[in-house]
Formats: sequence, structure tokens, C-alpha cells
Amino acid sequence: MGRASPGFQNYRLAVALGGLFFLAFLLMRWGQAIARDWPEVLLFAFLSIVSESLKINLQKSAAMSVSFLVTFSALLLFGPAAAALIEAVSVFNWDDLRLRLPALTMGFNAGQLAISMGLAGIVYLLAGGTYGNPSHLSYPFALLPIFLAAATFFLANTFFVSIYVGIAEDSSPLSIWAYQYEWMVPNHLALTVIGVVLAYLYSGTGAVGISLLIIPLLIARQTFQVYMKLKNAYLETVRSLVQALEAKDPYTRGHSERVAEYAEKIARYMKFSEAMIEMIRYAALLHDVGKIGVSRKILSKPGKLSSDEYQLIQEHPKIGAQIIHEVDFLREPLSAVLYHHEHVDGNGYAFGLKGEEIPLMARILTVADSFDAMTSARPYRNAMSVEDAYHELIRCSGSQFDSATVQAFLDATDYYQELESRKGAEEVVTEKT
Amino acid sequence: MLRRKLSELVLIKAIVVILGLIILVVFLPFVWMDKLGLAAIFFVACAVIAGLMDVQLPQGGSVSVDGAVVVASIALLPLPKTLLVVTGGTLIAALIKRSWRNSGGIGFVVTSKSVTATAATAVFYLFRGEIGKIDPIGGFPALFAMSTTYFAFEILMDELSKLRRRVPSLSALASSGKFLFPLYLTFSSLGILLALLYGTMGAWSALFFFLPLVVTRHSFKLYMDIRKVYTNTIKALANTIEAQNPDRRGHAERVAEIATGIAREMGLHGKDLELVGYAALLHDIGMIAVDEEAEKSGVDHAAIGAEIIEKVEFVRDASEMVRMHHASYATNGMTFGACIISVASRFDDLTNDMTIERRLNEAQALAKIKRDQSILYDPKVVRALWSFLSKRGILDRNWRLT
Repeated sequence: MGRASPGFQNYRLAVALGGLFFLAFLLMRWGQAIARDWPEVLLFAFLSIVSESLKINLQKSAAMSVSFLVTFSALLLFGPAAAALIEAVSVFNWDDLRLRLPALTMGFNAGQLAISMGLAGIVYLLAGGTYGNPSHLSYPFALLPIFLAAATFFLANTFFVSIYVGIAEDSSPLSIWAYQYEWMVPNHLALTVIGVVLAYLYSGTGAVGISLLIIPLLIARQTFQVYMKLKNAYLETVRSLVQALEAKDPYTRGHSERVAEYAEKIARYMKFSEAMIEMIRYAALLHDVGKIGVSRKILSKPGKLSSDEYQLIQEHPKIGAQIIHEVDFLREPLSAVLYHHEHVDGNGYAFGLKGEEIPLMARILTVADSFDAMTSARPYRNAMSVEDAYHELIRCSGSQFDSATVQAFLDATDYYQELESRKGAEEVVTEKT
Repeated sequence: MLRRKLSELVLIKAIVVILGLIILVVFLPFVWMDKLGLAAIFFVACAVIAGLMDVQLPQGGSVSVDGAVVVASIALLPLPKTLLVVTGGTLIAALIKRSWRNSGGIGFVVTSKSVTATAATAVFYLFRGEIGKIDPIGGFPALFAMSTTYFAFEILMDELSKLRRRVPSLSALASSGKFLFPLYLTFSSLGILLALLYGTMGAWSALFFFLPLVVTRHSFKLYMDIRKVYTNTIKALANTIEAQNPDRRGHAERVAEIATGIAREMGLHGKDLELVGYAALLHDIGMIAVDEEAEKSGVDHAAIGAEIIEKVEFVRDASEMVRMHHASYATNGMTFGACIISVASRFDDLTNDMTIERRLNEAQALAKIKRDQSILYDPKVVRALWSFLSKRGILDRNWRLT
């Protein structure tokens, strides 16, 4: 979001102003509940700000917070105007204030939240829902408006944010929505249920009751946040460990990192899920961890290896798998590490598997690994040119490499582009001569 | 010294068990006195479900979730019924989990929980709490004092049951209390909530109780699991050294065991103890980059190891221990953490020498290390190694560190 394009500015401004007008309309139409119950509305606004302050930041721009359940129960208790107002003031939370978000972004957030919650409230009333005392709701008929209202909020909210991210990052809002928000549906549903529960609790036991429920939920969120932080730092930890281990050998320095890059490109091109791409990254980072175990003298030896030494090197996928097998989290990458030197024609090591017997993740790793090995220097030979390495991949596709994977690699990297530009360059050169 | 402490612990445990038995014998017969049978069944059922939700801790032991149910039951039911909830819940949950084998353990758990519940009930009365009449605002101090007492006792009893040889120190109690505080705050809130709601909602209150409980437990468990993943990853990468040098197989893990034993003897706990463990696992990681020839020409595997560790955030604070693990006691900047690694590593080298003829037994190795103390090693660390080994029963009791 470095430079703000005029379109981006206008979008934020439009949503902020739209939100303001919409909120004014809601207040005129359903505002009397706020005037009557203002201390309680204030309490809910406070709770919403507190829970928004403790939200968990996920990747990129999505954040998960429990404030929705607070505002949703406010909708059931005080109606659409109060809920939209509470949702709008939740932008003044500690987490966002600390980040010093630009005023326009804050305005956008307040606007889109007010519109989403206000729409949800109107849908709720249109579908036959009532607000005030939730124990008057009759089940199961009250479930329909509750469900429709929650769905409206979710759709409207993610709609505004997807467009926001889409303009900011110049990509399609729809794919952003599918990638970032689809999985949040069950989570949102759970929050809705707790929101209804909260409204009940409030009408029964007042502030003490809801505090007793919200405290555990906030603690659970806090623990979850620490968990997410550790989980996100895990990739960094593995990467820096592997880097540190490789660093001392000039021939392998950065190798795993580059292989991870290539493998990720292939996997992305093959439309793997984000979770699988993450696993491939781990497999690539750790694929040679068993080589660290092979004596350094053999590895850096120029010239031919004796058959004993060669056998020892061939053990490294097994040693690598042995090393990481204790880590539950790395179950998936394990087989890729174990089979990353197999050839599709069965002439690889350490097991001599053929074709489809080799897991796809391992076949991807083989291509990525070989490409980087060819294009970097070894004690016994110089680095191959990128062009030659591509040709070597194509030549051995179907024997050493899985041809579909090689094809994906060529498509995913700039091979064809390079080919084109080279042709272009050659033509220029020929014209000149 | 050791013998005295051992009997002290046995004595405390015995007192707890006897006290618990007395309480059960005196109060349980009154369980039929009133007409709250349905409520008692409801709470026993809740206690069983909660009893099945134990959270395993990575350092061993577990946190039981049923305390929240017991807190609610203390507030709502007379003591005999609460004792029924405690014993019934624990025994049925154990039956379902089939953890009968450790019947002595179960006996201690049941009696210690009875003592805990009785103490909390006493505090509840002390604060003028009225059983069965819960006032959300005026009755709050009594509820709060009661649940705090309950969980303070539970932490104490839990520490007692975990230890086999030592009486828990106050600082160890405080550190595990601090670590588990959010969890106990959750149990406390939910217990009071359950007590509050049961009066108006009856059995439906279980919904409000278990929903947040499950959420909390789930995120706590995720957190515990990811910590375990980290530890295992560090262990796995420490194994790369051994893959390179099969003579050293098991060295890192043995040193980690001895080093944490020494550190515990010296009163370290929590995060510091964990760091000593990581430093011990990784102390030779620099060997990856240095072979023996290079070492002879002056490349120092300890310095390189420290450099490697510094780059990894999770274990960064262990880097100084690794850097100094071959330095002698008098060296400037030598910490006792580094000295622990140094002593533990030396001890394992001596007792697991590849040449069998040169291998020493534990007593000989300790004597040899002892000879070099105050030049190479901190005498306090050597003494801690001695007491660790004697408590493990590795050294003969009569062997004296002279």
C-alpha cells in the first residue's frame, strides 16, 4: 500500500462517507433504543473495543477478532442502529491506534463495518427477527433471521475488504476472497452462536455474566495468538537453522533456499493448496539435511569418488528422513526428502522407485534440486549456464525427471520468455550484421 | 540431607491422604441428607466430561480441567455432595481412560482433591458465602476467594504428586503458577459462571460452560503441541552432528539430560532450565562446520556453534553457553550456565569413551572432574552434579564428595 492511487483514495473516501450517511439513517430510524439503554450500549462498545484490540493478525490483511460476537449480541439486544454504531467505534482500538493507520483507512474501516452491520440488522428485521429481550425469541423460527443477518455481515464485510485489498495490491478481488476468507466461514458461524449466547446471558445475569464468559474467550484468543506467532516463526527457524548449517560450505551455501524457491514456483503453477505449498517449502529446505551428516571430506572432494564413498553419499536421503522423522509437523515433507533422488525410470537412489511410485512432492523436489545443482559450481565442475540447464532438464525429462513436472517448471519460470527475448536479441544481432 | 528430605515428602503426602480419608469418611455419609440429587448427578456428569479433557504438559504432568466444575459445585451444593462430585468425577473419568494401573496415584488424586475442595469450602464460609444462593454482585468476593483457594491448593497438590524425591520449592510453585495462570483464570471464571447459570437455566448451563472451555483447551493444546514441534526440531538438528560422527551417538541427548539435572539441582526452572537443555543439545553443533583437522589448526567449534545458534531466534539466548562451553572456570565472562554444559559434556566423555579400556564409571568420572574443579569447573556446579547423580541412585549413597 505504498503509493496511494487516486482510485484507492476515492474508494476509501466513498465507503467512509457512505458509512456515515448510512449510520445517520439508522440512528434516525432505530436510534431510540440507544437513547433509552445508553449505559448498556456504552458497555458493549467498550467490550467491542477491548476484543478488537486483542485481535489476531493473520497473513496479509485478514484479522480474526471476537468483537463480532459482541456487536452481534448488541444487535439482538439493542437493534441495528446501536450495533452499527458499536461496530464503527471499534476502529478506535489499541491495536489499530498503535499502528497509526492513516485517517482515511480508519474512516474506511468504520464505514464498511457500519454498513455491513447495519445491513445485517435490516436483513434481520426484514426476516422477522425482533430485538430487545432475546428470551422472547421463539425457536426454531428465530434461527432464520439470525443466520441471514450473520451471513449478510460476513458477505458485506469481506466484499468491502476484498475490493480494498484488490485495489491496493492490483489483483482480482474474487481470488483474494476465495484465498483469504472462504476458510473463515465456520469460524464466523461459531462466533455467531456465541454472540446469541452472549445476548441471552446478558439479559439474564447482566455485566458480571458476560464478563465471566468473555474473560475465558479472550484468554483463549491470547493463547491462540502466541500459537500463531510460534507457528509462523517456525519456517523462519527452520530456514535459519539450515542456512547456518550450510553456510560453512561454499558449494552448498544458499542451495536449499533456492531449491525452495523453484519448488514453490512449480507447486504454485500446479495449483497446490497453500498448506501443501508450505509443506513443499519445508521439504525443500530440509532435503539435504542428511548430507550434512556425510563426512565433509567426501563432499568437497574434487574428482571421482570411490564406490564406497559414492555409496555413503547415496545414503543421505535416508539419513535426512531419519533426522526429521521425530518431528510430527514434518510428516508430509518426510517422504519427499526420502525420495528426492529417485528417477522416474527407476535408476535413481536410494530405493529405485519408478514413475508414479515416487510421490509428486518428491518429483517436484528432484527437478528443483537438479536445476539448482546444475546452475551452481561444484568442487569437481564449473556451473552450467541457465540455458544449458534448461536443455538438460528437457533432455532427461521422462527418464530422470517427471515430464509433467519439468513442463510445469518451464512454464512457471521465465524459460519461454527468456527464449523469446533471446530470439529477439539474436534477430537484432543478425540485422546488424 | 537427602534422606531427611525424602521422608519429609512422604510424610506430607501421607498427611494429605489421611486427611482426605478422614474428610471422606466423615462427610460422605451425609450425601443423602438433602434433595439435590439431580443437581449432584448433573455435576458428576460435568466433572467426568471435564476429567476427560486433561491437557498434557510438555514437561510432564497434566492440567486437569475438572476444577472448574468443582468450584461451581462448592458454590451450589453442600460439602458432602461436592465430595461426591470430586470422587465420582475422578474415579469414573479414570475408569473411562483406563488409567487404573496407577492405583496409588489415583488414591492420592482423590484424597488430595477432597482436601482441596474442603479447604475452598471453608474459605467460602469464611467470606460469608451462602451455598446455593449466588448473588452475582454481592457474593462475588466469596466466590472469588473460594476459587482462588481451590486452584492454589490444586497447584500445590499437583506439584506434590509429580515429585518423587523432593519437596517443591516455593519458586518452582510460583513459576508453574505463573505459567498456568491464564488457564486457571479461565477455569475460575467458567466455574463461577456455571454456578451463576445453573440456578436459572438448569442443565442448559452446561452449554455455556463447555463451549468456552473446549475453545480454551483447544488453543492451549495447539500452543503446547507447537512448542513440542520446536523442541523436537532442535533435537533432530542436533542429531545431524551424530550422523556425521557416529562415535558420538547419543552424546547430545545424554549431555542434555545431565545438564538439565544439574541445572535443576542449582535451582533453575522454567525458561532458564529450558535454555540449558537447548544449549546442551546444540553445544557441539559447530562441529558440522569444523572437522578435526581444522580444529587442530585453531578453528573453534564452540565459537562457530554460537554463531549458528545466534541466527535462530528460538534458541538465541543459549548462544553464550555454547560459546563458552570449553572455557575454564577462571575465564572472563564464564557463566555458570556454560559451566554446566562443560561439566555435563566432560562427564559424558569420560563415562562413554569410545575406547572401552579408558571408560570410567560414574564415581571415577566425578572424582576426576572434582580434581579439576576451581581451575576448570565451578565447584558449585560439580557439587550439583554430585547431588543429581546421588538422587538418581547412580552413585552409591555412602559415596562422599570429599
